[in-house]
Amino acid sequence: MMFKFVVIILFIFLSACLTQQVDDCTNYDYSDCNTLKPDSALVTIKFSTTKLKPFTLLKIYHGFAEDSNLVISDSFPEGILKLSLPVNKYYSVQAFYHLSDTKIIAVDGQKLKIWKVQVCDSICWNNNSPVIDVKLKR
Amino acid sequence: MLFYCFIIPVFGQLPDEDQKLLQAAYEGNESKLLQALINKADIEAVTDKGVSALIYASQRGFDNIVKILVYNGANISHTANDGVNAFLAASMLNRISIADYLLKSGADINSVNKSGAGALHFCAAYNYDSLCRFLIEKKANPEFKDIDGNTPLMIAAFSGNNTVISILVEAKAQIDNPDKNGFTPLMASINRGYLNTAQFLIRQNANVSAVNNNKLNAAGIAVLSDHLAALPLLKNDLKKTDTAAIDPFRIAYAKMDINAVRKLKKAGFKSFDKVLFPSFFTLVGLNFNADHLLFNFKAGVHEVVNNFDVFADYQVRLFRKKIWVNVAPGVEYQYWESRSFAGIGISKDFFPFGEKNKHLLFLQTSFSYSYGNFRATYKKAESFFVIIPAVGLKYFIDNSSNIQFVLSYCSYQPNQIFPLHLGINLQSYFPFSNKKLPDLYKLKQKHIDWLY
Repeated sequence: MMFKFVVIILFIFLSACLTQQVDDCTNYDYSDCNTLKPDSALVTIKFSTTKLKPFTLLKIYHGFAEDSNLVISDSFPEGILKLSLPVNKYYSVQAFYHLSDTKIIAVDGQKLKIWKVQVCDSICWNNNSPVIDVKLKR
Repeated sequence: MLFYCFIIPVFGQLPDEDQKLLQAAYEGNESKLLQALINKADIEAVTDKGVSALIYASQRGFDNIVKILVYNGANISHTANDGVNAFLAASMLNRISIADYLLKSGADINSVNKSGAGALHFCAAYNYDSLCRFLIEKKANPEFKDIDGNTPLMIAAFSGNNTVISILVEAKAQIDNPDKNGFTPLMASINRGYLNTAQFLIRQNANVSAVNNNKLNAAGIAVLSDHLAALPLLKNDLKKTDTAAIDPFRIAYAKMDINAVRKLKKAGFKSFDKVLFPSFFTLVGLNFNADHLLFNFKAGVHEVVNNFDVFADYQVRLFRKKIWVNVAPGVEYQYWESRSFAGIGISKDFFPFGEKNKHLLFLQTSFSYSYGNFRATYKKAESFFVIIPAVGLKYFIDNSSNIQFVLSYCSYQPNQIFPLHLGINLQSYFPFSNKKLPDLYKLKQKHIDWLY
């Protein structure tokens, strides 16, 4: 009985999440609505740079780094990088730093997920805008 | 108050001389009273509440006025609208000389008001021991009951008037004479929290095992009315406990009153349910320091006699934390680590502020297995066992829940997470019983309508 109740509540909750309630469908602004299923979306990578070393080597992989499916390997400036990558895949990033005699490899990863939301008669595609943080900890 | 109608005289639309008579009786003004009588005032004139001049004078303690009125033929038996006559009015305010005079003039010593309360009831309620002795000497009936079945002894016990109780007991009043709901004087005194009275009644061989119409015995009433200090008075007679009574433990469980369960156990009561650990508890909270935040869930059992908890707990870090892992000399990996702790522990409560205080201290230790994982790698975070000692303060919000402030020490991953953690938790006890619990709303407490 309790289990059924929880399932019903979850179903109602999820239904509400996947259906965006709009009061005025005729004047709705669809400029933010991506009606085509996207093949790629933006992944943000945050990393550290210093005045002495303004470029940081980043290695970006499909899956985990141990899987060796390297997508990009390059040095980037400015501490933040936005890449358009294929959706519904897991990406991991290694950032390479040198602090005095120690080599530090910062690792992080996220899955780039997309989903659809019904708005009036249209379907809009959203993604989770993943942020991969390989900044050095303080 | 029963005699409210006497406080402010309301003479209504009476003839002038009758008003003067009532006014004079109320004020105790003899010359004015005599003048009213000379002027043919009606000696039986009454206010709109039915109060006569004799009742006023008796209640206000004007002996001479009473004598003048009786001498002039005032009706001693006249009763006001609430059934109070001159003798009862005098008794209510401890006017012994007037009561004596009225009795000698033919008043009925066992007269009662509309609630069935007589002079002995009043002296029992207001602790008029001299009047009580006087009435007993004059052969007032100590077993006389009001309309709810309350004897004077019941009234005295309900009011905690021990001197009057001893006078009534000397007069051979029945110590366990119950009211219509089956309450005995002992139950009434416990219900009202008069422990000296309860002790006195027990010394007079009051039956601690008596059961009222709601199947409550004295211990059950003590738990129901939160007068737990009475429980040790009753413990010596446990063997007499009538199993027809509701188990006092079940009343405590129904109230979710862990303190009552503890006091019952300490007083030597045995639950019919034979529950080893009488309460289950859950706890939710947060542990934190500058480095990270942990959600804490705990469940266990509480042992009430020695005040300790045995529990299983689970803590999980709410946000991942950047951790450095040394993999080779001069090479460190920085990962986002999640971490959990699962363990068992024991906690003991101490009462440095007194057992009645809402605050208490506790010491706790748990033995936990800690495990975690890193994001974006197959590598596993380090797993280890750790002992986590803690000290804390509990503040009881009510009888079954408390807020805890905890300082714990959890040493792991040196130099990366500060070992001291502060915690804030909410703990809730759920006393359990394997039998149906009584409906507290149906369990009546002792009440006397006409009193107070």
